[in-house]
Amino acid sequence: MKRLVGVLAVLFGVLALAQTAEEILERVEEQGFFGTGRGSLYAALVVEIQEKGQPTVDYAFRVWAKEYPDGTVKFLLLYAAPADVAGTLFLAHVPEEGTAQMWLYLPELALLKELKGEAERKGEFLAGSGITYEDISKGFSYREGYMARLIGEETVDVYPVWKLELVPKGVEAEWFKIFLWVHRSEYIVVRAEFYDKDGKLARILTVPELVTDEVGTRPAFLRVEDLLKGSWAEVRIPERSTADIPDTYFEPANLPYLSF
Amino acid sequence: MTRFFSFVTDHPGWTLTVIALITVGFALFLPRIGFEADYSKMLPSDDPIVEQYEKTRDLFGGQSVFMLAMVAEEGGTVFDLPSLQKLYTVTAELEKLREEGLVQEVVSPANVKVVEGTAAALLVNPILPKPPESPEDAELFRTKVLGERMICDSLVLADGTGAIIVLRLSAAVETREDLEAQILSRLENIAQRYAGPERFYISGNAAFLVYVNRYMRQDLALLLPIVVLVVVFVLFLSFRSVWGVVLPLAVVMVGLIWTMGLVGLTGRKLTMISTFLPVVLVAVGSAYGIHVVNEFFQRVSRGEAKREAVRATIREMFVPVLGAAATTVAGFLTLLSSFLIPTREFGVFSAFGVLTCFLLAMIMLPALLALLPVPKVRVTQVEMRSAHRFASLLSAHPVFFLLLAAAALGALALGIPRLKVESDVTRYFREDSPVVEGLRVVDKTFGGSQELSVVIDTGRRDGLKDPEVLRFMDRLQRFLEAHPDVGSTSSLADLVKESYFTLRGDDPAFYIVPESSRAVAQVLLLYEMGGGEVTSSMATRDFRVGRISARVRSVGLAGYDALIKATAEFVAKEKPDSVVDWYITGSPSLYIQLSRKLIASQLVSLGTSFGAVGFIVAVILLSLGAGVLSLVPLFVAVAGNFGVMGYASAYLDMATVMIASLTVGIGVDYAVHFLSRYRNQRRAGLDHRTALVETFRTSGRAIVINALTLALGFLVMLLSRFGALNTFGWLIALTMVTSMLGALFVLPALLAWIPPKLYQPWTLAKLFRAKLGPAGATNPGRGANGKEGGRR
Repeated sequence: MKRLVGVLAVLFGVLALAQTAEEILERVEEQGFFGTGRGSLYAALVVEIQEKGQPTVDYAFRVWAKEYPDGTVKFLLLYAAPADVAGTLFLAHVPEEGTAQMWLYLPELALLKELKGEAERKGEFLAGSGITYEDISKGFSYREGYMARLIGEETVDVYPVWKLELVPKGVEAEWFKIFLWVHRSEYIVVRAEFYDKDGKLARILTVPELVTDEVGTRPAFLRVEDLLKGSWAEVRIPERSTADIPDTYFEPANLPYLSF
Repeated sequence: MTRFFSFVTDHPGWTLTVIALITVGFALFLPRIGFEADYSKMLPSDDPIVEQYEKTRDLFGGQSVFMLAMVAEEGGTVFDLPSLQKLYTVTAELEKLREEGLVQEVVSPANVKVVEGTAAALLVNPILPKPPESPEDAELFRTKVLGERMICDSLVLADGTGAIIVLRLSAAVETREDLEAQILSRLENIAQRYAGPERFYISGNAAFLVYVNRYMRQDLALLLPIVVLVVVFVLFLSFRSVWGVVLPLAVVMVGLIWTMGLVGLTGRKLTMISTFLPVVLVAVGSAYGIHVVNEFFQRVSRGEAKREAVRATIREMFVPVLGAAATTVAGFLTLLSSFLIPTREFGVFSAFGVLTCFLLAMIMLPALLALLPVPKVRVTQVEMRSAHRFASLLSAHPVFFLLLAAAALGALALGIPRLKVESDVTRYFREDSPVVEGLRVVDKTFGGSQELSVVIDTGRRDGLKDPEVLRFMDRLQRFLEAHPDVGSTSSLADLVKESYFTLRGDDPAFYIVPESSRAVAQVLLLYEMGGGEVTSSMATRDFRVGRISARVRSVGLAGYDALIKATAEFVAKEKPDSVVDWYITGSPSLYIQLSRKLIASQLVSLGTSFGAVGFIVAVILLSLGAGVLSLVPLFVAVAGNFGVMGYASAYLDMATVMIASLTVGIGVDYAVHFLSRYRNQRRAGLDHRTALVETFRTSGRAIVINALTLALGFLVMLLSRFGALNTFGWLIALTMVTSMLGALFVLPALLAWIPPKLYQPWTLAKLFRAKLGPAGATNPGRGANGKEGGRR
């Protein structure tokens, strides 16, 4: 019996190592930022931001996300806190390829505006958070801009992980180098290090705890530290569930009429 | 003491070896000397104004900026395609500084984001998506700029004659003068490469600090050799001998190494004030060596054996040179009462330097003299024929001279009310400095290079989003902009109004603050989500504390004071109840604080120096009356100095504020020398007139040479790159001359009326000093303190 277990362990180990870095990255992308790539789901998020020398600020959101057959992920984000922006709606249509479309509805002014310009690119989702629109809408989507290499297996906290090294394919990439530590069975990034163009460690993402809900395993919270600015942001996910979401939630024209 | 000096002369090699080792030890710390130009560090860190300045820096980031102004060629505008392309290219180069982390923010017309709206969409984009390539692009740029209230006449002049790029430093870089110097060099390089036909000017408070730093180094490299040459010249004239030049100079140079080594050892940095420490030390510290060498030369010329001449020289000169050094040290140490850290440091290091020069003159020189062969001495005997004439005039007409002095003093005193205090660092530069040229251009065309901030605290999260608070900020901006000394202003209110206006389809009726806090919050959210950024220089992230910034012209202290008072009155009267706290900060308020403290500091240090020096003289001359009398010429010199400053429109600033104390410390020697020699003559039985003749003949010459040496030494500061030090140089040179005139003319006139018992030594003390030995013994040919003459 012991011999059988040993053989199986070696076999699975070889199989696991046989996975290429590209395949691992692909699975990571499927996870999305908080599981947005898994059909329809609902989640509640709490974001806390601490910039250097500034007071801590926090936000709360409710999010509905749905994946469409053409690969487009649509998600609607409702601001729940702070009170003065509560009720504001942010809608994004993120196609598999190409530029995302984004709208914002301001209930106090009864204004619906499409966001264009800087927001289409690398703008921060919340100022000071270090989390971009792309992070929120696409998750860790690095395959397009980076070449990945599997450089080993490690244990981060209690989690067995693969360590990937990502280097840019072209000169326009934001980072000089990225290291990802990916959970070997859940394909969740539990740690990431981002090196700037000078080769300095500039940003660290950590996931100290994983929890399992009805959708699957996910981070209980994740923390993004900007080492250059001396700021950090923590994203907690107190609630996540599958949901049957009507398509009307994702129609820009309907935003003024939605009630929650 | 005698045994110690015997050891020195018996073991000159050992003595010199020890001194050499100490000198090498101090020299090792010379490379550690740094320079400090940040005026915010001149005030104590617990000063409330400094605390507010630091707090603002923590909340809103660095308050230091570099400015690069681009002025279009004559008849052209920055909207012309080639000029505009240059503006974009220069901006791209400056962006590299941001990428390298040297600069926190580069605000240029070429990269600033503007909010544009359509019925369905909101865009926050740069004015042009990419650098202009055609005249159409340039025209589009012009049209957009003229329509943007936050850019037009702030970053680009409406008539197109100029544009300005502002580089805001991070708090971390703001405290690193080496990095600031690096940024300035890059700016200068860019300005040089892209100049023509456009002109580039560099300004901003960060640039001033780097220039101060740069000029300090240049001053040190230039002034020190020149003052040494001046001293060499005077020494050669006095002694006509190589050793007469080398020996006193050796004392000064070793003393300088010890003092500057101590600066490095204690980790202190040279400031604009202490940069001229070496110049002062060379001028002042050379006197002690001169006394010793002069005495020794006279003795060997009379045929005394070398070793005996050296010992006798020390015995004779110890007390008088100690007296001269003690009063000078006291004068420098009174600067400790100053609130200004650089002034206090200057006082301490100068006092140490003077003490060092005194000790070296007493130890190193005798050792050298004992070791060297007996020099061939040619003692010059210049007869002061005018001594008789002066003495006759002064003894015959003392009232006339007193009235003349009183009239001159009265006339000068009338100038005192005209005295103005100044602490604006931009006014410390010479008018021909490139930094002043840049300052003038930015002041004239872009509304100023100083930044004044009003910081308001609402006491609660999101308090700034209260429309009432925003409207108050808006009113405050309009109030500031109506002031003639203020250029552009900025605050969160601008941003909210501009965004709301755009959201409402550019309807002028909506260029207002929205009606509710929720509406304001949502406008700001839309702005940020659209790609805009509420910069940390405007509001804290929780929108509790906000800043209204105003660009202010360099109008000097009175202008800043009026502006700050008017602003404070406006805020106190107009602020809504929801603003629970506020203060005004920025470089102008630091200047005001510096000035207030300068006046208080001046009064304290002046009073202290008069008291301390008078006390020391009374102790040395063993007479309270002599102590008081010695202060009379100083009173003439100090009051005259303030009067001259008033007439000459010379500001009382960080440098000139020290003149009074230094005059008391250094200038008292003339009175001491004159008084001690005169009373000895009287004690020897001479009448007033004859005693004056003798005093003029012996001490008078030395006093004149001493004063002229110091005056020439201080005049070297006319070559400084700082206007403030030029003024300091000629003013203190003048006080050296006036305190000398006071000692030679006012004091003799007074002595005609004062009974000798008031300035003669106390009997008991006299007996005590007589027991001390030759130095304390009365000798009609020398002063009671045994002094041959003053500093030469």
